[in-house]
Amino acid sequence: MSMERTQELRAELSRRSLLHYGLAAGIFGFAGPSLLSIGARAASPDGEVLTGSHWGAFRAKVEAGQIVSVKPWEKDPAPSHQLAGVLDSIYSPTRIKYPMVRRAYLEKGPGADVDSRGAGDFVRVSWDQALDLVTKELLRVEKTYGPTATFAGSYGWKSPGRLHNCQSLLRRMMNLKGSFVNASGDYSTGAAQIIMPHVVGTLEMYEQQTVWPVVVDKTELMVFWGADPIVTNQISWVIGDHGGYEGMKALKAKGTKVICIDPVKTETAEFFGAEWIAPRPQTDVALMLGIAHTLVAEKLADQKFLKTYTTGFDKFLPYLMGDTDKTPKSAEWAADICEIPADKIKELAHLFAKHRTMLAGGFSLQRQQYGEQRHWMLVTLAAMLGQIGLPGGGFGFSYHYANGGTPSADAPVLTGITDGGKAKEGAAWMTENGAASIPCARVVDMLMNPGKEFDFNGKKEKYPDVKMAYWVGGNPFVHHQDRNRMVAAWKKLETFIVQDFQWTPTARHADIVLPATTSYERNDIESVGDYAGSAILAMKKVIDPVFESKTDYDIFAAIAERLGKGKDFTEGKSEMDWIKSFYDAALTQAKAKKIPMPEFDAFWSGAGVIEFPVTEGKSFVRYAKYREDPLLNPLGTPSGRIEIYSKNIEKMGYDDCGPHPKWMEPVERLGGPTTKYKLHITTSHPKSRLHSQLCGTKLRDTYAVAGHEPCLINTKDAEARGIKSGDVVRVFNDRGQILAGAKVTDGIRPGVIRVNEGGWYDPIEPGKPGSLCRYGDANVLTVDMGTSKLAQGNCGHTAVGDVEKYTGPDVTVGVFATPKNAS
Amino acid sequence: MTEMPRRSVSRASPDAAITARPENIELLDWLARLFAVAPTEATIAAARSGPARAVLLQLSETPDLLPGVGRLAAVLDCPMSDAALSARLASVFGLLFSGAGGRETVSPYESVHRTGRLFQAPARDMARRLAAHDLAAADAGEAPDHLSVELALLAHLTATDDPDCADLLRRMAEWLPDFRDLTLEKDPTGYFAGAAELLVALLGREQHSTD
Repeated sequence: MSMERTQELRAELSRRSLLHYGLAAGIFGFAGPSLLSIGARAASPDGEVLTGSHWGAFRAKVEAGQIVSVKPWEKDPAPSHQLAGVLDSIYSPTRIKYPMVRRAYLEKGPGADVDSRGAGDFVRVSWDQALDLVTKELLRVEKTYGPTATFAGSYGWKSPGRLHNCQSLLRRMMNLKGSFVNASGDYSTGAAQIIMPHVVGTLEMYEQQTVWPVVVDKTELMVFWGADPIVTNQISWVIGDHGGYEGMKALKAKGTKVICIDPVKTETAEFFGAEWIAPRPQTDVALMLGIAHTLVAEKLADQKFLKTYTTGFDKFLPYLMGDTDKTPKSAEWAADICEIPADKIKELAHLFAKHRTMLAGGFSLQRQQYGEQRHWMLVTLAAMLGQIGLPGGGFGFSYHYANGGTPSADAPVLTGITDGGKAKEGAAWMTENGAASIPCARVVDMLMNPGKEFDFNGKKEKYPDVKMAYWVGGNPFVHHQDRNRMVAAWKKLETFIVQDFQWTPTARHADIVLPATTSYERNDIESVGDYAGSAILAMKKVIDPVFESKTDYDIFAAIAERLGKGKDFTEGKSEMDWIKSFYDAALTQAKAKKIPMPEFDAFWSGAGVIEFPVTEGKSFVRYAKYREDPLLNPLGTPSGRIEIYSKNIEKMGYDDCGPHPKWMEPVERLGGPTTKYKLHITTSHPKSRLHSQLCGTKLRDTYAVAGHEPCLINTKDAEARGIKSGDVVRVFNDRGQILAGAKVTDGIRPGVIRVNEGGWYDPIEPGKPGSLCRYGDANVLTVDMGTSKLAQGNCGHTAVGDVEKYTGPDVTVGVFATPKNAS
Repeated sequence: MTEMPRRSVSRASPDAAITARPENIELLDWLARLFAVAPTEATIAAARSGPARAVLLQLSETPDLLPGVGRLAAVLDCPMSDAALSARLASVFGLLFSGAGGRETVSPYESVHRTGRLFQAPARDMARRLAAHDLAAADAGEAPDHLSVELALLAHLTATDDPDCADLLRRMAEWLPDFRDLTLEKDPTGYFAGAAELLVALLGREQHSTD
């Protein structure tokens, strides 16, 4: 090419500057708009913004409109290492960038080629296209099948914030549309929150505990039973306060004896240098009965307390002593089941009775078949010890959750946007609405059995015939049990919509995917500490929405607008109008109670946080008032007392949840009489995730083994199978198979392996039941059945199986089949 | 807007650097678009015939460009219709570059390759580079360190003989081999892998000529 010609062409290119191609086609025949536009974009001001998360409040440093670092709020007494994952989640490569629709769904409509769900074949669409599609489908399903064909019982650990509560906003929109199928309860405490009102008259699971300062002062023996608060208190439903760590540090410093009962030597056991007792998983009721039997046999049970504060012990006693079934639930009997020596069981009974003992039970105990029995029996055991309502004694079910036991501040209640349903006492996220409702963990049963009758807490209901589901703020393709059963059941849905900020396994199984912002790309307001309520925090927007993401509020408002209900949804309020209204409602309460609080503008543009003092909260003792006068302060049970025998439950006549706590053989367990596999798979909460949240971040590099979710295995079990630390292993049972990375340790009892729940489901053949999960989703292996007819909670810790060194082909390469004609 | 007239392909030395062959600027722009949006039937049809075909043929005469061009051409030469091939490639594009592919994703962002995260220092640096030329990514939601935005800027700087070109070229040559390797590993079709291979070879050639 001549110099002249080159310069001519260059000049032409320069004129077009590659900015003005417009519809022009170059030598490649390509036409389309330029990828660049003229005019630099204004950069956001640099600075530092205080905001909050489930992992605590933090300050985000912003440069050129991007978060460059986060550091914990200086008032956080024990910041979580997971905060690094928060930054990573905002900028994770798995962010959902645009609205996307599964190709077959877009081309052929609802229900098309459902086998391709999960394969990741999505088409980018505009927001208008996506919202029109969603609205059209909501109306079609309602018109065609009626109000019980749309499931909006979306469950999961949504982001904190009183406005952008995506689950409330979803149901708010659904209520305006017409109706929907809702879900009740939660996966955390599904069994306990149903049984506890029968036993103690409240949900109990989310109530304030006897506070840590009292425990430190008065408790002589702290027993963590299936609880690992050092790990799980990193997170809170609202903004994490981490006050529990101060309590635990003080307890350790005092030298109080701590016992951890758990198949794994937990972080908590390590922290306290605790005595570790490792029963067979799922045998806790037997162990508790053995202790209870010893208390009776050795006349250590507090008869006065039982007589004054409980009902039905006389009906439970014959079962305990074997009068009704000729099987005394002695320490020896228990030892055969739980594999803790009878002498140790008796020693526990002696220790518990001799000392001021706090029995701190974890949620894990009840996420097993017959889970209701564990918490009922633990309360019964505490009642027999007679220390309920005494400072430092009794039982507590939230020392491991959201920093229960941290003294409550004198703070006003912060309200939030409503979903249009009727509020339910006991937990902020529970409301009652919808044309039908199911226990949340029965979602797959619902899909597989439309019209089938099911029992639930004394009632008989029928599963609705659901055709469409809309999920926000949750990740059921990780948190639900028996993944392969779920994959098959999900094919029955004609439409599955997911709204999230990240390509979770659930989003990948959707038909329509809407990109939501993270909490850090919108304004909101939230309390600090579920129990502490130590502050109200302005969750100021740190950065502009990433890619094309929109806030949950804006998305649902846009759908409501298309439904002709926009004004009803927004009530004419902007994001900041709502936030101010929540704050002002708190301010009104504060003024009445003479709690100092600034006006909203000063709060929002000032420090962005208002802290509250702790006064009476420092000395709270759970059940102290009841103990002081059970007649004046009765419990909410039919008898007003702790019910060791429930006539209400007796009337239900369930074969899997009788009128008093009892031992029942689960469908499978380590050493069970009919159990096929030799290893129990325990699936406890991970140290470096919030369930499945942050699994898609760089934090995974800190714990993954050979790129897989870790699998703890005892040295003897590993030797027997030729497994070494670092090996890739296949964990399997009749329900499915996963890969994991072996970590050989003596910190787990023989016969038990641990794969933490929350690992992202990563099937080698998406959409195909039975497919090998490459990463290590423990719920591929767990059973999907209700805990009992009473509560229908999930059984996420019921699983047995086996493990072997993986010798199959490398799974990270060549997982996509090369099409015959395109290679 | 009036469509620009098509030109015949020049026969400059195949060893010449980008700057010496203006049509290579359009090649850069074509590659930028290839990684920006999923291919349509029209783009596949255009790539299969006409002057583009001749350009690819010419590039294949150069040994270091041959592997990428060959891989690309093999896909374009497959017996699938334009519609079927574009649908297949659009599907793979989504899997590879949208994030929906999970572990099979190949991030098109420099920040991810350098730090594992989106919107890190490279994004800020690219925003500054664009601003320095009074430019921005046309898609306001797009990160400025997307491969396509970087390539579009490179093409622009090359076309305007801007001295900043060499520096941008150097930095792209640092992270793109990683992108190429991952694409080669993950792309089941070879189309995007071939394009990545061609791109890296092309930039390598240019870098050597400016060293």
